[in-house]
Amino acid sequence: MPVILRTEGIVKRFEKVTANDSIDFELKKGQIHALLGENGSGKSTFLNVLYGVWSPNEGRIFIHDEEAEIRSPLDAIVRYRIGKVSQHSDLVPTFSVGENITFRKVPTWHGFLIDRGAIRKKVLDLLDIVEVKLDPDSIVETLSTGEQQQVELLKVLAQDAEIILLDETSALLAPHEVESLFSLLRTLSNRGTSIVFVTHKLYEALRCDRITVLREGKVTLTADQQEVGFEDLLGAMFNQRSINDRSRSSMPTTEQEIILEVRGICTGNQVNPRRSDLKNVSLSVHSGEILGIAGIAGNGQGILLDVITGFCHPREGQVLLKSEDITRFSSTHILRKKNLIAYIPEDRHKMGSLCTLPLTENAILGEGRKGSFFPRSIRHRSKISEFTKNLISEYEVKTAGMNVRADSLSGGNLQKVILGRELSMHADLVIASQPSRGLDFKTTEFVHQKLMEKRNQGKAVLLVSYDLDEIIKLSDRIVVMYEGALIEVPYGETDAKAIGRIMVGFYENKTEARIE
Amino acid sequence: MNKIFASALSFLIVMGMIAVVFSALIRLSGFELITVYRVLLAGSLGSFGTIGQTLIRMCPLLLASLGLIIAFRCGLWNVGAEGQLFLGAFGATLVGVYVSLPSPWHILLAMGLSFLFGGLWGWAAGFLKTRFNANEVITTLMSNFIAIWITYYFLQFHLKPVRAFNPVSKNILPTAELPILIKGTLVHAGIPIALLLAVAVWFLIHRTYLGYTINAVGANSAGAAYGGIRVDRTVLISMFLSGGFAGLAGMGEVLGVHHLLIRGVSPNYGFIAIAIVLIARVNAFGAIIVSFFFGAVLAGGRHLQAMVGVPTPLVDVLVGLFIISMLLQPLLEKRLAETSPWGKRMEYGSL
Repeated sequence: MPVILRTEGIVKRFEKVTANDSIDFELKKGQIHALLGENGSGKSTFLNVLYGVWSPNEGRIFIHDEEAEIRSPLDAIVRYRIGKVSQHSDLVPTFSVGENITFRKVPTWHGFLIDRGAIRKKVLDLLDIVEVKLDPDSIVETLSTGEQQQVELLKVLAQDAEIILLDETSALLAPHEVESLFSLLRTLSNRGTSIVFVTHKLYEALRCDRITVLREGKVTLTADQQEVGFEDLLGAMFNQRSINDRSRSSMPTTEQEIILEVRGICTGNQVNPRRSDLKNVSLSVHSGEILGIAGIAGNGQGILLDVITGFCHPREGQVLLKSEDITRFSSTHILRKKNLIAYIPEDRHKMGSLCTLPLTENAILGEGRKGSFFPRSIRHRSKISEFTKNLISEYEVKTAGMNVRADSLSGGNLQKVILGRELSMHADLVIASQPSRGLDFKTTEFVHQKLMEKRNQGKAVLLVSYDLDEIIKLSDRIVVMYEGALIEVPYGETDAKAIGRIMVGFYENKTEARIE
Repeated sequence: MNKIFASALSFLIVMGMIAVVFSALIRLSGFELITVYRVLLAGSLGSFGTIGQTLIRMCPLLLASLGLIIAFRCGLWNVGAEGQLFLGAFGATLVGVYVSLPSPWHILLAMGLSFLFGGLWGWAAGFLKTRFNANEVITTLMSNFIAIWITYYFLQFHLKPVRAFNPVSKNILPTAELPILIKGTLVHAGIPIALLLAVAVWFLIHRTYLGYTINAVGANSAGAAYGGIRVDRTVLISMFLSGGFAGLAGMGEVLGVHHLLIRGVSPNYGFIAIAIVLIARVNAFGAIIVSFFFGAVLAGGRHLQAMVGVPTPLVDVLVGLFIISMLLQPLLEKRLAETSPWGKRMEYGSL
């Protein structure tokens, strides 16, 4: 197979940090090439160099054996036919799915009227090939994060790119979506498209043709997939070769107190409920257990958490916290004021933190802390800085100081701050939504360990995750959320395949998935 | 490039740009350059009297800016300071003319009513935002006109003595006048009050829980709500305080400068304050310096008009030039700081 893209000694520095240190890389035609590494190992930077976002300080890029100077992302897609699907959404939120997908080449009538029929047809054809259930006319901002990610991928596919760069696109996808992603990538590679697949998940890397591992900006391993194993990759990714698979410390007993009870919650329109509206949802979380809610993104997990945390009120049903009804009168304000619920939200930038404010302000967020940090409403500065300092050291947050803006922290470190802030609240109920999303291996372990600690201290933990492995690893009991309803997974079932079946709608005596 | 050097250079470039454009306009209008600059300086900082002129213009600018700082910190683009200022002036006039009280209480009551008038006007925009999700930029902008014309209406048909020709209210009672602090100048007690309030606003924003919630809502209202902060309440309080400070600016003009209500009580102080706050990077202490500077430009401009006959629009152009250039300055500074000495840009996509 001919080499389609080659780099020689790419160096990219940001002030004092060398993000890419002399990277040699080779991508063959029709190859799926995994770029594996921890967060901060330089994967994204390298991808951005290839995509023309950064120009390298040193080194050369060759495309089809000709030296290429990729000046901008537009250059990348137009001149070199390099497309990219990024971690964060590049979509126009107010445009429809179809308009987003055909964004660069909108079908028009004689160049000035947008041809909606053609958009629809083009998109439906594409959706057909990739077997994705999406309405081309729905507006992107109304879609769930998972669905938006799919649109993003389809958008690049529609640009006829020869090389596709995927930047941790699989991070948000459910197991079966990852499956279809890979089968799609396979189809594309068989048709001659070359793919760079950035990931920090080992098993995903092992499904690619060739694997390059980065650590601290350097290439530590490049090999064909057949030549390497799990342990080799781990060794190349991390300095020390240690990965401990913790098993649960104890099995839950039956005499545990019920901390959270949800009874028959219904939301939305009774006559014509949306897929994500809750349909008679009941659950209970006991002290000293982790209840895992598995499910594909957009099946109502978000609304359920909003109901429990007081962001919205259900049409029917009750939420009981330690047998106290908190459905109607409760609001986030009251729950927070009394430190009743520790909540690690799914979106750590949009919700979990005050990005533009210093770390200290983020560490003390929460109405319940008013009394201790603002006695008589006046700021107690030494107490606040002491608390922040302790949080930074206890949760191993890597930061330049406690007065830096929260958005200057990497995702993992920001998550540690949020985790520390919430867990130091000593609430009886801990809700964690996607707590390890986008985090590297070590930080994920850290987060899991902290959640297990809480469980072992006798707190009730409600875990929502799209990562089934995470659910299986941590949960004492597992329920699956599918189209706004909860399905209990038999106790002791830890087979991902069996749970995955429920997640896509095949369960119990149902033989067919419901298709709208 | 060195950060201090970049900062200094960007300031020089910006000032140079202003000088070039303004000089060209002056030459085109047929005035002598040196005279104009000399008079401009003399009229703003030349003597005790002219420094007084600068200070009395700084006072409403600073007060309105303080209000805007609270709103902007809360993420609310209150562009309604002008209208809130007018209502504040109206409230102060009502107390000043129609209530008789001994001196300090009279002034305090006038201050209170002007704060209340301006504050309620701001609060109304906040209410529309929290209740109906109305964009505060539009509501505050439009409410300027309503507030100003309400004031004009009362001035024309109720406050103006029946026989009087000009739309001017009666003089306020002497007990309501803000005392002159330095004899022979116009420096009135509103100026130290404004400076004290600047410290108070700084303290509010940086040292109190209310300030924390205001900053939190401004940074990320979803995050603040998640933290249990009552976002709507914070918005309403911020808008009330914001309008209230603008109202105080109007109070200072009536009780301290004019001693009656006139139509031209504010030559766009409420709008210039927006620029001041942005230039001062939404900081109360910064606002003191920047509003002093704009006070000087306005005072100098007024002097220029009186002494040399330079038309008012040209002075407004000067104010506008300063606003645009000083908002450009941080961008320029950033750009310069990211440029390596031999001129090649280090990062793609900066600025």
